Parts: sequence; C-alpha cells; structure tokens
Amino acid sequence: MRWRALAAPLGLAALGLAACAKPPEGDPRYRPAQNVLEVVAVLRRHVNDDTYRFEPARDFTGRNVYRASLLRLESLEKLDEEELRAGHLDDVIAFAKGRALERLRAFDLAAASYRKAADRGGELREEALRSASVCDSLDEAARIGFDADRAVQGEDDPNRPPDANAMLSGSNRRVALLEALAQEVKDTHYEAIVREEIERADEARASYFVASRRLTPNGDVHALSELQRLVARHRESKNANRHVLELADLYAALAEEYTASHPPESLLFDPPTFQELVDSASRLYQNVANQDGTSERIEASRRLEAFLAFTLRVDRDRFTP
Amino acid sequence: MIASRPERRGLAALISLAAGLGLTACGSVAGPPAGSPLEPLATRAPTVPDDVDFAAHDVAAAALAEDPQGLRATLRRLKRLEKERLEEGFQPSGVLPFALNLRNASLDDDLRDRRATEKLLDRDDIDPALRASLNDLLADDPLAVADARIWDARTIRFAEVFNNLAEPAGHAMSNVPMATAGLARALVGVAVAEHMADELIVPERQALVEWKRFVAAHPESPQAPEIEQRIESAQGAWERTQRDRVLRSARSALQENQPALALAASEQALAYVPEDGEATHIRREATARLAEARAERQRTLGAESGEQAALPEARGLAVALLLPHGDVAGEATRLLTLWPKGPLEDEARYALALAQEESGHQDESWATLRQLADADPARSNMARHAIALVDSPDQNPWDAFTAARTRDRGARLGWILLGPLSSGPRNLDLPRALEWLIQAPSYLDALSGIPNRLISYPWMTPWPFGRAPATYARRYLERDPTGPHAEEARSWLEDFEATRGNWAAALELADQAAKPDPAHLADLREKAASQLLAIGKSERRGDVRATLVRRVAREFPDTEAGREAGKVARQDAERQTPQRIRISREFLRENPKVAGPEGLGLRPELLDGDLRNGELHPDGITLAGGRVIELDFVAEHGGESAEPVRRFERISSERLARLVSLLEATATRNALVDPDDEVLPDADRDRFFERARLGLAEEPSPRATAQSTYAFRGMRERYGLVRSRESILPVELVLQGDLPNLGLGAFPRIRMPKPTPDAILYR
Repeated sequence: MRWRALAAPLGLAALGLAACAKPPEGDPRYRPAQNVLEVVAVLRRHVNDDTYRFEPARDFTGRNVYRASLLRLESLEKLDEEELRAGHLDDVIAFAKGRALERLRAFDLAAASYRKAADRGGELREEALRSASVCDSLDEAARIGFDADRAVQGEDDPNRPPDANAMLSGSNRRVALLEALAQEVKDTHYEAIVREEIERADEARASYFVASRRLTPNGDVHALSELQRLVARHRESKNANRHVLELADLYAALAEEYTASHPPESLLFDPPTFQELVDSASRLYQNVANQDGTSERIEASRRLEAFLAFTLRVDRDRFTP
Repeated sequence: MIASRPERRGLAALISLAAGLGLTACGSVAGPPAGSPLEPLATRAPTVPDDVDFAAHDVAAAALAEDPQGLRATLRRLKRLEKERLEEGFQPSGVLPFALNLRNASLDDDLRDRRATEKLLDRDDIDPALRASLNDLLADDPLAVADARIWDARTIRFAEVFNNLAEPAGHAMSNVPMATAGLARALVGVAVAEHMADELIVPERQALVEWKRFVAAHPESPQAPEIEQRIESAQGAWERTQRDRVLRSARSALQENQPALALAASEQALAYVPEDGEATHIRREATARLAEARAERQRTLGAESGEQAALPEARGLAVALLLPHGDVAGEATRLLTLWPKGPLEDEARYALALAQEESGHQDESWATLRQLADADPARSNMARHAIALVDSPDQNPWDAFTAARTRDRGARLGWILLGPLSSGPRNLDLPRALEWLIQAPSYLDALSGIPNRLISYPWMTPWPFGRAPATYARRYLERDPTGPHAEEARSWLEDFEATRGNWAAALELADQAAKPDPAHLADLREKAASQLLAIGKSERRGDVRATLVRRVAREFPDTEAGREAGKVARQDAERQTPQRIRISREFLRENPKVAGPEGLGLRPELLDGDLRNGELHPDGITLAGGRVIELDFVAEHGGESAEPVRRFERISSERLARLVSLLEATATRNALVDPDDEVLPDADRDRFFERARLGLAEEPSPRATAQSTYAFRGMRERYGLVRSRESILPVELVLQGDLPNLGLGAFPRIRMPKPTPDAILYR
C-alpha cells in the first residue's frame, strides 16, 4: 500500500527528469558539417580528380562529394549568417561553390559564383575570374546543338535540329569549341571536365541517330556507326562500359525488330543476318559481363541472359545458338 | 532389296576389314581416280500411277478440300485396293497407314485424333519412321506430359530420402558405429532438405503449365473440371513457393542490415501472398530502418551554428586549399602551431595529408589519414571523411588490394583445410548456431580431404582465387601507374595471370616492368602465342578465326606458335570455301542411297574399301558452297590416316538438289528410327539445303555467318562398333570404398529423372 502511495510522486519525478534530459544525440558520424574549412578541405581533395576516367568520389554518406559539398556550403551560409556577416569567408564559400557547381554541369551558376568570389577582391580574385571565363566557355559549348537532356519545345525551338546535317554541324561546332578549350586548360583540373563535355557531345550525337533511326534512310546503320564511334573515342572514359552496353542494346533491339519484321518461319527470314545481330549483341554483353568490380557487369550478364532467352523463340532450324 | 541398318554396318565393317587385308597384301594404293569420280546422273523415267496412287491422290484431295464424306469414300476405296493387292500376292503398298493418319489429322477434335492415332499404332504395317512420328505426337499430349512430370517429381522426392538413407545403411555391414552415425546424419540431412525444399519443384511446375495448356485447349472436356482443381491447388503452392523464396532473401537482407533490399523482397512476398504476417513485419522493420538511415544522411547536409563555423583563423588555409598552387602544407602547419589543440586541428591534419599526397608522398599521406580515421568520431569531425577515404577501394586501391590479398590467402588456406566448407556452414535458413551444429560433422569429413586438395591445388582449373585482389591491383595501376607500389602491383598481377594460364595478359604486364627480363619475356611470348593460336583455331566463325590466327602470325613471328599460325592462316586461306558441310565416308557407306545413282551418283568403286581402285578418304565429301563439292581421296602415298588428296567438282543443280534432298530425308528418317542418330539443328545448313533444292545455290553467300560446318557422320564413327546403352532400370547398385575408415559398402541408389530440355524455362 505504501509502495502504491509512493508510485505517483516517483512517476512524476521520473517524467520531470526525462523532460529535463538532453535529447539523445544520433550517431556522431552523421552530425552536420562543423565549419567551412571542413567542407573546403573535403572538396579540395577531389578538385583534381579525373572524373572523365574515374567515377566521381563519394563522401561518407555515399553521396556525390561535389553535390554534398555544395549542399553543406549552402546550409552553412543559411544557418551561420551571423557568424559570416563579417564577410571574411564570403569569397572562400563562393569560390568553393563554383568548384562544386562546375562538376555538376551547372556552368552558368559556377561562373556566377566565381564572379561573386572575384567581386570580394582578395587572393582568390584572379583564379576566380579565370575559372569564371572557363565556365562561360563550357556553358556556351553545352548550349550548342542537340542534347538529349534539353526537351525540344515545338517546331521553332532553336535546339531542334531540322535534319541530321544540321545536327552534325552543331555537334562539330560544339566539339571544336571544346577541343580549343582543352588546349587552354591543359594540366588543370578543367582538362577532365572538358573531356567529359566532349564525351557528352558525342553521346548527344549518337543518341540523336539512335532516336531517329527508324525515320531516316539507313538509320540503323548510322545509329550503329555513331555508337561504335562513341565506344572507340572514349575507351578511357568511366562510361566506356555503359557505351558498350548501349551498343549491345541496339544490336539486341535490331535482332528483335528483325524477327518482328521478318518472322522466323517466313521465307523472308535470313538466318545469317539474324545470326550476325545476335553474335554482335552477345559478344558485347559478354565483354562487359567479364569486367570484374563494375556494376555494369551485373547489368550486362542479366541483359545477356534475357537476350538469349529471347532467341529461344526463334526456331532452331532458323537460328542455331 | 535394301539391307537393314545393322546389316549395313556389318557389311561396312567386313568391307573395311577386307580392304585392310587387301592393302596389306598388295600394298598399292591407286590414289584419286583419273576421270570424273561421278557417274552420269541416272535419268528418272516418269512413273505410271496405278490405282493405289490414284486413290492416295483422292484421299489427299478430299482431306485438303475438307470433305469428310469424300475422305471416307476414298479411304474405303484405298482399303479395298490394298486388300486386292494382298490377295493377289503383292506386298502392301505402305500407303494405307499414311492415309489413315491423314484422316486422323483431319478430325476436328484433338482428343478424337489422339484416340484414332492410338488405334492406328496397333497396325503392324506401319513404316518405322511414321510410327516414331505418331509416338512423338502422342507423347506431346499435355495430360500425358503432366503425368510424366508428376511421376518425375514423386521419384525425385522419394529418391532424395531413399538415397540419403541407403548410403549409410549400405556401410552397416562393415562398420556398424560409423553406419549408425552416418544414418543419424542422413536423417538430419533429410530433415534439412525437407526444410529447404520448395513446396512445388520444377517437374510439378512443368505439370502445372501442361494442365493449363490442356484446359485452354479443351475447356469443354469432361476432364477439365478435375484438371482445374489440380491447377488451383498447384497454383496456390507455386505462389507460396515464390513467397517463401523472396521471404528467405528478405530475412537475410535484414540480418545483413540491407533494409532497401529487405523492403523490396518483402513487398514482392506480399504481392504473392497479401497480408502475409512475416512479410508485413519485415516490411515494417525495413521501412523504419530506411527512414532512420535517410534521416541520418539528411542530417549530415546541415550545418552546426555557432562561432566555430566561420572562424577567421580558417581563412588562410581555406584560401590555400582553393588556389591551384596554394601553400597548403605551410598554412596547415601554421594553423597547427598557432592553435595546437584548437577546433581546426583535424582540418589542418586532413589538409596536411592532402599536401603530402600532392608532393608525391602517398604512403605518408595515407598514414596521416589512417591516424585521423582512428580518432573518435564524436570528438573529430574529420574522422568520418578520413574513414571514407581510407575504406574506399576507389580512392585507396592499394589498401583495398593488400586487404583483399590477405583475405585471399585466408581463402586459399581455408580451401585446403576445409574445401567447400571454408566459408562457413551453408545457409539453411536456420539460426546460425544450429547451422553450425548440423554441419559440424561435415567439417570432420572435410579435414580428411586435405591430402587430395593439396595435390589438386596447383592444377585447379579455372583458378578460383585472386580475382578481388586482381581487380584492386588493376585499379591501383590505372589510377597511379607510377605510384610507389606500381611495380609490386604489376608483378603480383603478372603472377596471378600466369597462375591462371592467361599468358597474353601476363605478357602485357611483363612488358610494363621497369626492368624486363628478356628471357622471361621470350618465354611468355611463346606461351601467349600458343594460347592465342589455340583460341583462334577453336573459333567456329571463319572470319573471326582468320583474324585471330593472322594476329598471332603478325605479332609473334619469332615464336613457334607464330610460325604455326602463319601455316594455319595459309592453309585456311587455301581451303576457305563459303560452305563446309561434310558427309563422311562412313555415312555414305551406311546410307548407300545418298551416294548412289538416286543421289550424288558417286562411282561405286570409290566406296568399296579397295584402295587399289581409288577410295574416298574418311573425310568424305564436302559441300563447299554454290554447286561445288570437294571430294577427298586417299592419297597414293600415305594411306587413310594421311592428308587426303582434295578435288573440287562443279555439279549440276539437279544433282545437288537430289543430293541434299536425299541426304536430309535419310538423316531425318534415321533420326526418327534411331534416337541416337539425331540430326542436330543448324540454321545455315538448312538454309543452304533450302536454296539448293530450289536451284538457288548458284551464288554462294560470302558472309561468314552463312557458313555451316555441319558433318553428317556414320554411327560407327560416332559410337564405335558397340554402342553403350544406358540402363533402363530405375535403380543402380553402388559399391563404395572408404579409405580413411577402411570401410566397404554396397547400396542401391535410385536414378534421378533427367531434367527435360525445357527445364531451363523454369529456373
């Protein structure tokens, strides 16, 4: 009975203690960025990374390190407005944001950020202006011609190439500009960015031919040759396996389309033609599936399996695997 | 009179023997014939149709015109004519069973057709090939197939238990204690197998598909309601099987703290069995863990407010870090001196590591980072960044390589000691401790296999170790080809490639050595050339083979294999023909009609086994593309085992059409009559035959993918004089000796049904 009488005040006391206690802290690894120098140091480590050849680095949470740095810098700007009011780190933050933005292909924003850093004067001014100029050129090049990420808005859209020749001329202009820029930025971290942009232009060119292959004469041949060109020109790229996969996918699509337009049981079906398409697709998938330590390896082996399963639909007297 | 197949084979053997004796006695070989090896084509006199032929025509016409009454009437007429033939003492024409089959095929109802076919098979005047076709037709009945698969499933289930128990029981005579222990283990094994087994196994799933096929084709059949019940029951079991499978994945994903995978798998399980209790629980748990992880990740993107966020002392180092050639080391040291235990100490050390790396002191840089990574994350904000770098195989491939190499050494040692059990007990979807307990006796067994594994270790093919370290070593060389460990990585990779027999890769790596050893390089070049040549020679496609072989000849001219590649390339070029469909001499002897006046029209003495009057080489005849055939003859000097003398003949379209028609018909018929004499599918062969029959083979296709290398070979060539037969008994007797325990056992083992060719579709 006495215990019962004590229970109520004890319970109240426990509640009171719980209310006063500090809320539990999460895993210290995941606490927010502590200061500007932390973010700048991590970003700086990866400024010279060759992101053309190798995947961009990831931070301790698995995010793209450039994107994570940008977001953390923005959070610091917003949350520590008071501490930053003196402006002693304004140019540092703006410059660092420029370095992050240019790796995320936001060249116009990067250029603006560099200019903001330059406006503050100080030791970073000259480098900021130089970087702003390079980002302007990169932005100018990125806006030339067809690109798969720019949705065409109607017939009058200047991004809409009227025909393959116009597209090719735009693509050539873009690559020429980038190659000239590559000479200018030799031995700087921009070298990798420019190579990525050239690859991007080549990808856009190939994707145009792949997208329009059914509407143009010899469209399939052009699409194949453009994807082969992409593979050949960017063997060193981190995306090399992906390019090979795209080429394999196109061969696989052509094989499927061939069986749709020339049913295997019909007299029009030509086994060697089908065999050539199957051999090409399988060989390319197999090449990628043999690359240890890449995620494309799993993709390629599954796609190869799926593709070979499709060939089971074709009679054995028309196709012998 | 046509000799039966065994008789023909016996005759061929006698002829060969006689030929051999003749050769020994006389010792003279005539070589290829002086004139044409082909006889003039036999002219075909038009056949005058008799009453049976007319009746057969009328049966076919009535069937095609879908005239059941006409069909019945013409069949009656055909039967009457056949009867008259027999009464007059003639042999049956053989047409009647075909006509009856045609009548059956014209029936509207598939089930009636089957019943009529069964009745037709009772006749004793059916051609063997037709009988085989009719049996195939009956075997394709969905219900019969389903019954067979259900029988297979029952056999598998029973055999798994029986075979597990029979083995230890069989040892009971020689070693009772061991047998008792074995029996106990077998019982545990049976229980575990039952626990792991799918509710519906592959043959049952095949039966389910066949039942569905039957009901779709015959919804009105009296058997349909019963079959539908079976479908419902099996379908439920199949869904539960799938649920169990994905739940197993979900469970282990949750155990391994992979909530995204666990969530996906649990949702899949719920799609199979909605509101399943365990799947719902796993989904809830996985969702909560994911939400927690996302919140933690999101937290890192924020910033801590306070004066430490923007300390003015940070500016100098920050600017140095951002300038392309900033004095990072100087500024970091200044900061550390100015404020040794200050709030920016970690940042300064991290920056120092960066400066060390950029000045070429990679090892020192990684040592600094490792030191930072060891700090308590609660006290050091840079520890997490250092951990991310040190642990990343992309950023720090050397450490990844050394760690993987250590693991790999452990794996090798583990394999030698414990074999396949070295990676721990097999996942039995049970608590781990129980899995260890159940499989503990297997570890004792595994130890007894150490001598065997030690002996086989150096010759293991394919080499199963070293793939992970190799990946990281390559990554290190890609990132830092002149790094401090580049030579060590290269040398290790070279050894790895050499161990697994990839000499071409080993040579490439040896070439990159700082101080290559010429003798070692020469040895590797020889081995690489031999390897590439072997790959080239095994290539099926002519164009790819030519490219590979020529590459060896071009790149390795100073090696034995390179010189051989040159010869192979030259021979290939000389022998290159658009087609390579071969008909061996043995096939022609076993099927004389193909070579005879109805087919190719080969001079008979070229197949009579007498070398004195010229003889076809065992390679026989090759359809070389277009209307050209290659005839290989036994050379005047050298005998049958020597290289043949090749002669090319251009034949007429008619001769070619006759040859391929007869060849295809004979091979197909042989395959129907004798299942061992199968005709393997070959699209390019069939296409060539199709065009040859139509007289369109004049222009051979130059494409490599159009070339067929199919070979029609005789049965004796394939199986020898006596063909081994697979036992038809469902049980085999096994005699087993056990060296470590000096035991001997004999026990019966039930044969497992072989997977059907379509089992691949049920994986």
